[in-house]
Amino acid sequence: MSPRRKVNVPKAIVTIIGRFGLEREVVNSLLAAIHAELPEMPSNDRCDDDRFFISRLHIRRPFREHFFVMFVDDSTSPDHLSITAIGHESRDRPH
Amino acid sequence: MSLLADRCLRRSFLVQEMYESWQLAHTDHHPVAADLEEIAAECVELCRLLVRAWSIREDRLFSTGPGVLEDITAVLDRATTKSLDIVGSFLKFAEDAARGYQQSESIDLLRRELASLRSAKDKAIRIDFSALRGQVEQSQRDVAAGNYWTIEELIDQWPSLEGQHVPKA
Repeated sequence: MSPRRKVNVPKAIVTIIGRFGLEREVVNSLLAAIHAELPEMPSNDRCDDDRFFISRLHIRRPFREHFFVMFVDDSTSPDHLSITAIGHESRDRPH
Repeated sequence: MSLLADRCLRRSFLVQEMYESWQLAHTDHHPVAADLEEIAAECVELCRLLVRAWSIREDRLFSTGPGVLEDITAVLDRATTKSLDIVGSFLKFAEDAARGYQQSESIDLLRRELASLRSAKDKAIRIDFSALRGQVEQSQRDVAAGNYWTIEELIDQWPSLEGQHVPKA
């Protein structure tokens, strides 16, 4: 079994996450999901720049749900993943 | 999901073929009311199928997993554009044919379903890839310069980063 890859988050991405203006709980959930789920995620869905794969993370809050789409660099280092782009959308939770 | 998107596209071709064949067979401009009802019913089903597919696509976007459903979105866009075109054309024909008579309920229903489909397509969340691509260069420069956190460090340090590297929530 290969060792779990470490995830790096560049300063530019941290700034963008901050600019989303999310509640602290959502940011905490996002960071926890990146930590727990990104290294396990299939990497076969590549961007047009095939150094990166694309992944989505879903965060559910009581009244609103969020999804994040990320470009993840898994080609620069075999032991590390680096988030190179992140986008965010949200919607009211369906009842 | 890709099966459903393919089904929508095939169905849009079927409805188009049905409508165009019927038009060719009825060049006398005296449409049979029962035929119009039947075509309207097919169009209603097509619109509902597409609205359901857009809704399922959005639910899939709001989930954790690889990719952003680009292929599925492209098929749904194609099927929807074709369907809006066919159904719009049929509605105009049916409204002209019914001029002076009471509009049928099925035509009213189709008009509403068509509006729902247009709304589903217009409101569909789309990923702005150009904005994402614009982030890549700076991120890579940061990594090369050592300006990054491991995710574990970030989880620990996020509160102290607010107001410094990130705006305070």
